[in-house]
Order: sequence, then C-alpha cells, then structure tokens
Amino acid sequence: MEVVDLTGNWYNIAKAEFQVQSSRIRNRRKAIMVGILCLGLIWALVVAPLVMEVLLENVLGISPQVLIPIMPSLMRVGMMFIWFMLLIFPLSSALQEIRIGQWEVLLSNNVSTRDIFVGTFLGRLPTNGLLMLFLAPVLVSPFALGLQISLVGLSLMYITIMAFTLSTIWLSNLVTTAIQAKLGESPRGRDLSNALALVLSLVAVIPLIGLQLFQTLMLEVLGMDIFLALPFTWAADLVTRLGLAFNGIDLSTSTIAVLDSALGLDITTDVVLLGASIMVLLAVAIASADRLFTLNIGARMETVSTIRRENPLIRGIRRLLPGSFGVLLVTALKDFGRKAQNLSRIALYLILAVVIPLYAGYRSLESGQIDVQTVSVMTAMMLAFMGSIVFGGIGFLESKDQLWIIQSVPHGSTRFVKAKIMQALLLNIPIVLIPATLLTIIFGFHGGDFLLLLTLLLVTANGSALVGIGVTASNPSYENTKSEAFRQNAMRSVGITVASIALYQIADMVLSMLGYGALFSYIWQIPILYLIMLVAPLPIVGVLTVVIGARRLARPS
Amino acid sequence: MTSNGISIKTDSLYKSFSSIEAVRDLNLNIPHGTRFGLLGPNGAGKTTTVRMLSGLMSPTRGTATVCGFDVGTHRNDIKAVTGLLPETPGLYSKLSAVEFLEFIGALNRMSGESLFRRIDSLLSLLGLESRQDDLLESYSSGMKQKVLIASTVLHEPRLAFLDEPTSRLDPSASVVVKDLVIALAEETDTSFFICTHMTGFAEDICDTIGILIEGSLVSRGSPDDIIESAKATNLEEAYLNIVGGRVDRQALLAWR
Repeated sequence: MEVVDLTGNWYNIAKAEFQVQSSRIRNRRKAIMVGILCLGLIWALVVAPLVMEVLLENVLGISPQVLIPIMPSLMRVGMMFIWFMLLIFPLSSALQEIRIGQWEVLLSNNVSTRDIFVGTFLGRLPTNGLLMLFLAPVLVSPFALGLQISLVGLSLMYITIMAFTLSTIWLSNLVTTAIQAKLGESPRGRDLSNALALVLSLVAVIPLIGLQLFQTLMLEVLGMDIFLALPFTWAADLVTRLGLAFNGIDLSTSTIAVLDSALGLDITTDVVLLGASIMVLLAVAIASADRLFTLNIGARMETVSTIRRENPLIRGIRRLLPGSFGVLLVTALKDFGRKAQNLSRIALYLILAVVIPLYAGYRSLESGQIDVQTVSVMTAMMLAFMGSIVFGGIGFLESKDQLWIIQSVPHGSTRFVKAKIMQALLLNIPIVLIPATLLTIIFGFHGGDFLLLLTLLLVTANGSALVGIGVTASNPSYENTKSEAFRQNAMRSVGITVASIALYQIADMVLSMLGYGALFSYIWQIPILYLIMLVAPLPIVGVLTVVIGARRLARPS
Repeated sequence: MTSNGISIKTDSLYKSFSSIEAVRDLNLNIPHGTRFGLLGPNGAGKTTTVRMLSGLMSPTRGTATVCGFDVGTHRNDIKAVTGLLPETPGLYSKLSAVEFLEFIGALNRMSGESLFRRIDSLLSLLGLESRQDDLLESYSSGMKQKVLIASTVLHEPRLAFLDEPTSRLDPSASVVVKDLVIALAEETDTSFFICTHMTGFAEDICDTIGILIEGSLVSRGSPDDIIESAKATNLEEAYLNIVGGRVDRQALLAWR
C-alpha cells in the first residue's frame, strides 16, 4: 500500500480553512479573490489618499498638515483599535463555533496540533489580509498627505502595520485554541464560550465608548509611559517614525523635537521590541500547540453540577403560583438564570443602559444643566434595542427536538410562551431598577423624575422583550448564532422596535401635513405626555408580535 | 369521540416536502393495546409518520385518527392522550432530571405530590435516582434517552410514540426499556407505536410490524408472518431480504 507523506498537513488544513472562509464565492473563488486584491492595492495606493484629501480639505476644511503634531497620539489610538478589532472580534466569533469535533477528526488522522494551528492561521490570512488592505490606508493616508511621504516610506509603514496585524491574528488564534480546548464541545462549554464571547465584545466596546466620552483624557493616557509597554504602541510609534523619516516636507527642528518627546522610544528600540514580541509569540504558539489539546481533553467531561435547595425567589413564586403554570415559570427562570451566556447578555444590557445615557448627558452634567427628557429617552432606546436580544434570540429554545416535546403536549407551546413572557416581565424589574437608580444618583434627579424614568424604562424594556419573544417564537433560531434564522430575527426585532418608536413621529408628520397638527402641538407642550406617546406603541406592537409568534409556534409543520 | 377499539387508523395518508414524497398513501389499522413496530431504512418516512400521527405535522392529503381523534382537527385531544419520544434528545441542559420531568408534568397540567411520586418511581425504575439532581448537560446519551423515556410515559398516555427508543442505550438499558414497554402495555393497556432500526428489539417487543420503504408500507403482519413470507429465519434476515442492503464484497473492495 502506498504511504502518504503527512508532513504537509498544515497546507491541506489551510486550504480547507480558506475554502470555508470564501465559501460564499466558491464558484469563482480565484477570480474574485484576485480581483479584490487588485482593487485593494488600487485603493491603498491611489484611491484612499485621494478620498482622504477631498474629505479633509474640501469637506472638513482642514489641512492635512494640521494633523502632524497629533500624529503619535492618533496613530496609537488607531493601532489600539486594530488590536481590539483583530484580537477580540475573531476570538468572540470563534468562541461561538467550538470546533473540538473537527479537531478530533484531524488528530485521529495523525495530524499534529501544530499543523492545525499553522494551517488555520494561514487559511484565514487571505481574508484578514484583504480586510487590513482596505482599512490600513484609512489610518495612514491623512499623514501620508500631510507629510508627503515617499512610496518607499509608505510601503515600509504598510509592512509594519501588516506585521503587527499578522502577529495579532496569530495571538488571537492561540488564545482561541487554548480557550476552546479548555472549554470543550459540551453544552456547558458552548454556554461558557457564548458568555465569554459576549464579555469580550464588551471589553472591545467599552474602551471605544470611553474614547468618545473621555477623548482628551484617553489621548493623555495613551501618551503615558505605561503604554510604552504595549505592542500596539511600538507598532504605532514605528509607523509614525517611518512617516517622519520619509517625509517630503521640511519639518522644523522644533516640530521634530515635539514629536520625538511624544514618541518616547527611539526607532531602533521600537523595531527590536516589536520584532522580539512577534518572535516570542511565534515561538510560544508553536511550542505550546501540541500540548494545548491533549492537556485539557478530559476536563470537559469531569464537571458535574448538582442542584441544591431552591432560592427564596423561586420558593416565593411556588407559594404564589402553586399550580402547573407556577412550575413552568420556575423552570423558565431556572433555565435562563443558569446559563452563563444569558447572565453575560444581561450584564452587557445593563452596562450599555447606563453608559450610553451617561455619554449623552455627560456634556450637560459638566455644564450643570441636566436634561431629564434626553437621558430618559436615551436609556429607554438602549433598553428597547437590547431587550429583544436578551429575551428572544438564543435564550428561547435550545433545539428543534425541545420544540417537538413542547408541541407534543396540548396547548404546550402557548403555555410555554406565556411562561417565557412572565419570566421576562419578572427579570425586567431589577434590570430597569438598576440603571434608573444609578442615573438618578449620577444626574441628581428628583423623586418625580425617577418615577418617570422608571415607568418609561419598564414600558420600553417589557415592550422590547415581547417583540423579541414574539419574533423568535415565529421563527425559532435555537442555540445557533450562525444560522439564517438568527440573523433574520435580529434584523426583524430591531426593525420592529425602530418602527414602533418612530410611529409617533411618523404620525405627527403625516397628520400635520394633512392639517391635523394641533393635537401633536398640544402633546409636545406637555413633556410627560409626549414621552408616554413616544414609547406607548412599543408594548402594543410587542403584544401583537407575541400573539402572532405564539400562534405560529403552535401551528403544525 | 369514539375509537371503537382502534388506536390508529390512517387512510391514504400522504406527505410531501416540495418534490420529495416522504410518506405515500399509508393505510394502517392498529387496535388498542397493540405494540406496533415500524421498521425501515434511514429516510423511509418513519419519523414523518410519527409527527403526522402525533399532531405535530399536517399531512399533505389523506386522513388519520388517533385514539378516535382526527389528526387534522383534534390535535390537542390527540396530544392529551399520547406521549412522544423524539428521535434526538431535546432536553434542557441546565435543568436536573427531576426539574425537567416536573416541567413536562406541568406542561401536561400535573403538579404537587402525585407528580413527584411518579417522577421518583420512574427515575428509580430507570436507574437514575443517584444522578437525579445533576444537571442534564453532564448526562451521557443513554442517560438522556432514559430521561426522555420517563417524560414520554409520565402522564400515563393511552398511546406512546417512541422514535428510535433504544438507539443510544446499552444492552442492559435496552432490556429495561423493553420490560417497561411490555409491562405498561399489559398492565395499563397502553398502545405503542415504535420506530426502530433494531430488528431484535422489534422482534422481542412488537406484536405487529410494518416495513416502510421510500414512504410506502411494503409489508405488515406479526413478526412470524413477516419472517415466513420473506423466507427468512429471523426478523433481521427478513428485513434485509425485503429492504435489501446486503453488501457485495467484491464491489466494496473494488477500489483496491
């Protein structure tokens, strides 16, 4: 029998990974990829600088030279953004698709973990590389214009960004592999992975919001010495140094001195540190790859959680609702509360419900003129957009077979939906109380304002939860966040929520055009009435959505 | 609504999905207390038949009554008197076995001490009492299947649909299920409609067997009748004679 050489397995894995990444264009894969690459190069070298020039000089009315003094800080901000984008989002996405099953197939075919590791990285390289080819010029072009950097300098800047990008993807790959191997492909592992993915997106979102909120402070912090210890600072500073070294204008000595002091380290140190960090990362990944999987393969089977005594809330509900519906409600609460992904989704929900209004009201807080209406509407909007995702989506049903079981009981699906609604209404009480209380304390609202805020938040959070439950009941997506149903539901939920909130404004516009604007003018004069009219359509639409959803869920296939 | 001693009656029951004909003009007449086994290869239409008879799926045409109730108009009545064990486990991973069975009981409007006594006895019968408070996510496939079997018979249905009940069970657990089915059929007059690939299990447990190929019922009778008509010595041989699927060794190794 012919013996097959297994030394090049990384290539086969890379090829398979690339085929997965480009599956949407599988019919004309080569032609389209080459076409995109050519477009990317034209974009990077010709179009992006032109677009930036028009944008800066004609639209914003500023000269690119103005950006030169703040180049070090802006480059660090840009690199930090790339770092988060490449490290967190692929990690978050990969965690939602645990691939231990695939690993087991590959490892059983005498493929080393190192091959899997290298192959996966290389397979994703073309798509990630193209993404950077389109994004990097946006960061570099304004400075290239201002400093009139030569083509050699520009190429070196792109190479630096590319090296930094690849090492970040490599690191992301390593961390993902380690986490996946640790968590495994059990239901518990999948739950924890989804929870972790949500937490990671929060980690990425918060600094970006923080950047907007405390822009000046962040720029100052990014200029501090502590950031000289982070790889994205070395890469950013090296790109800035290269830009300065290959500039086509005569920079004054004083400007160079200012920029030098902002950069901190010299060009050689930056090159050495960045190069060394890439080499260490490469070595660590290759050395540890073969141990990652085998070290933790048994861990996923060993965790057994045993139920203890029910908590006082569950016991209270049982006492209040002693019949079968009480049992359904208690079961829904237990199932929801024990899933780490649901808890991290609620945490995300709460944090955004506080941070976004804080961001909106920050300027007025500084000036001492707090606008209760703006803060109320912003918080309500945040809860409205997120509520449907928290209570609909993947927290609704685990599998089609679970639905078969529920449907095999008389009126089973209708009673199940009712229990889910009651569960959402109960959980929304603390969810709404927390941001309402925090914002009241931060902005120093009075008791009446607090009650108004609380009422508006309860109405929108519950209305949004009803929309989420209704949409998901109409088209269950189960636990699969990659499914078409999940994407459709997310779009429908947001669409219905936006339309419900805009309903009052649309009615105002249409009726005013028809000459019936007096009523709306009257409502506008009374802020409380206006706010109530603004949020009132959402729970009504929510009830309609949930009735339709419950009927569809009960319908035989 | 009267069933006249008939558990399941179908008349030209037909189901298609676009151009695929899943079940073709199925005619069945199964008396009460029968343990009916539906055998057939993968994709023959067994699960589709179960879903139509349990009121989960509408037939494209034809009629059927289950325990005297029409599948088109009295779905909830059918669900009240039947139990369904689906092909793959659809359990709640974050509930314990007791909590899951309590949930199924609540869906069937059961609650209180009598429900917990029933749960305890079923878990004890299926050998799960030592793990009954562990979350289902840590259960093996076989243990999950046992929990599902308990959930199917929890509300004492008059007719139980079991879709591949022993496919994930070890031999000793299969014997428990077999004994449970026989005991329930004999003591409580429960009828069983069992889809299975396990010809040995079907031969031991079923008093009537139907063989379904590409949506059509090609053979029906007692296991002995089927074995005799297929000129075989046991049900597995009879099944292979009817369905085909014997391996041609020369073709199998032709690539070498």
